Amino acid sequence: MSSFRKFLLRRFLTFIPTIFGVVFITYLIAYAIPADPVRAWAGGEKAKPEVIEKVKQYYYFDRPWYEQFYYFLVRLFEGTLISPRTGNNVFADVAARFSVTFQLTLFSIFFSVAIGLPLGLIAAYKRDTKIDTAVRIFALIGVSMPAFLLAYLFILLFFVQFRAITLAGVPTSKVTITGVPLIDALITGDFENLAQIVARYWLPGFVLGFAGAGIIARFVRNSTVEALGADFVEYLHAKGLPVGWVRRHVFKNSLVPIVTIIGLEFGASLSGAPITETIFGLPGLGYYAVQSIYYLDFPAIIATTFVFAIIYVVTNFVVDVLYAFIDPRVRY
Amino acid sequence: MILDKAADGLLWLLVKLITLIRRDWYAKNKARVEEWRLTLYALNRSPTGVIGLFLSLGFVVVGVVGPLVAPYSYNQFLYLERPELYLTPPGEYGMPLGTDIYGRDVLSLMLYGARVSLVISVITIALGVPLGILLGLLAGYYGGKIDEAIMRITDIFLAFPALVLALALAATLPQRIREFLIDQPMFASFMAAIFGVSAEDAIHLAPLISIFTALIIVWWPSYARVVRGMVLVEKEKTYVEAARALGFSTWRIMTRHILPNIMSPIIVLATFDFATVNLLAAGLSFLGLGAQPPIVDWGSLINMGGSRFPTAWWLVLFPGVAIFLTALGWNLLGDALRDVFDPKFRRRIEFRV
Repeated sequence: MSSFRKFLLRRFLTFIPTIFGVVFITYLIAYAIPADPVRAWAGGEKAKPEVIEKVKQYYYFDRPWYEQFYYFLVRLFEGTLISPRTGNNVFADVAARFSVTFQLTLFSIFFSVAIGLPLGLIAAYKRDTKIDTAVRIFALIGVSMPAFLLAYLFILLFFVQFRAITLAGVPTSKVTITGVPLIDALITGDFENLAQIVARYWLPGFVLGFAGAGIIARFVRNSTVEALGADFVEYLHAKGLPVGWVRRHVFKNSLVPIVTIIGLEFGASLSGAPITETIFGLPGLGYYAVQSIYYLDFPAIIATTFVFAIIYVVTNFVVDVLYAFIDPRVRY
Repeated sequence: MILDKAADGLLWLLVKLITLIRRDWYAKNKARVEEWRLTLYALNRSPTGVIGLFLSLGFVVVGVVGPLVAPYSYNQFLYLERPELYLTPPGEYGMPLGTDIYGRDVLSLMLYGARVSLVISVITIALGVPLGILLGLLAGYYGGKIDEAIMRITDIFLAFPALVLALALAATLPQRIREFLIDQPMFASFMAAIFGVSAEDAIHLAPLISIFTALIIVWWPSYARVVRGMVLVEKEKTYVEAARALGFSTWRIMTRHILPNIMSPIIVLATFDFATVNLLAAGLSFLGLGAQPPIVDWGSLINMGGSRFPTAWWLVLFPGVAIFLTALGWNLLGDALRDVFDPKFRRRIEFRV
């Protein structure tokens, strides 16, 4: 077995305790922490006694906690948790909303990288100048900006003043291939649909990606400055290579930390999704989580927390694997 | 430089205060005080750092005195007596920042909100960070099974996006905390005092207490991981070996020898985290999990204004800018402190001092 496969297997095995822990914490959040989960699950203060009795039996609340946990696990992995609010299977609800959050995250990462990467590179090339300081301050403003302030300023500008964006409904695909309208439109070459999607998502994506742009700029700058200090740069200059070529070599050498931070930003934009989706009225996972919390819809909270955690863990895993492709020196 | 004079004065005051309690402290720790003086001088040489220091100190001062100087109380519903005060824009009827939907003065609400933000961020950092440091020290120093166990638990918590875990916890905790507040009137009135609200509203603090509880649970893992990494490097160094050869206890080596050597990155991280905690707490509150009426914080004001946007723009703009400036202050300060604590950069500044 090659060492890469061995690495994949080992990484996969360390997943199991993490995922199990994630499940246990979601169980604690939903079953153990609430004072009266049965009443909440049955629909809050106004729940009828017979409904409470039914819920109690259905979710085994009359059994000891380890049996409850066992049945919880079974339900979770069978995917048969039912949301008391919508009456649907929660995983069906999650799946229906996943594509919205996924597209939002794609747009946010796009803006983070498209703004952060060039700024970071310029700051590193013009180290210790006014440009460097300006990028540094931009980065700090980015991480300090509350998403809601930025979002409402833009809504005032583009929605109220110019009427350039919409805040209701989401474009869907005409032909479903992958289930993600953006990718479907790209595959089928349907530019009209693509334009609709871009029009709906670019602003929320920008707001969500703004903080990430600052963080990425800082990381790119530091990592490039470090790579610029390496001996090979001096050698290449001495050899008379054009600056552009030297920079290409430097870029390749600074890529590992950059990819790490982009991976982490992917996770961070999942974290920011609830706020952005609520403001812009996007029916995604984050909005679903917030709505489930308002209505104390615990099965939905469990499912979204669980799905978020899984996406997060998988992203970190993908980043680890990507190292090997970026930097051939990395051995597992 | 006025700032250097201010730094001297501050240190002099501090030394006087400590001498009151322990007489020979200054004689023994002269070198340490000089080190602090140099650190402050170096910070004064960084313009962004000074701005950050002013913004964050300003936030702390407003947070401490805010509720005391607020012209109106948070539970004065002026709307009941003067119906024209419903959502007054800034400047009208003598309300400098306007009023909210209950006719309350937004300036006063902002001052009360500053206290709430301050208390939440201080408690989260004061409890979450030491917990993370302790677990990181244990994991890094002992290694082996203890390390494996602590790091697995840390990984589990790090597998959640911060806001999502905090959201789920902040949604489920309030009921329990409300029961606890009813059972423990002493604790309830203590909490009411530090949040700057009257004692009969203590019961409404349950969501705020759940926010900082949730944030503490979310916060320690990153510190545990960072500290463990640094301890792994430090424990191989000669001074640790020397301390061990002298027969010092493990606890003493961890807290008195290793910890001071890894403290500066932790201080920098904690300064940045004051900004992050503020933003996250405001985010939770914006999503409706924070202060419940009649208590307000900045996030809940924005929530109120957001559903009436753009009519009630002042309910979004003022708290939003306040959150932004607070976070910016801590971030600028943290950024400057990172340079100040970096030996290479520090040398460059010290030559100019």
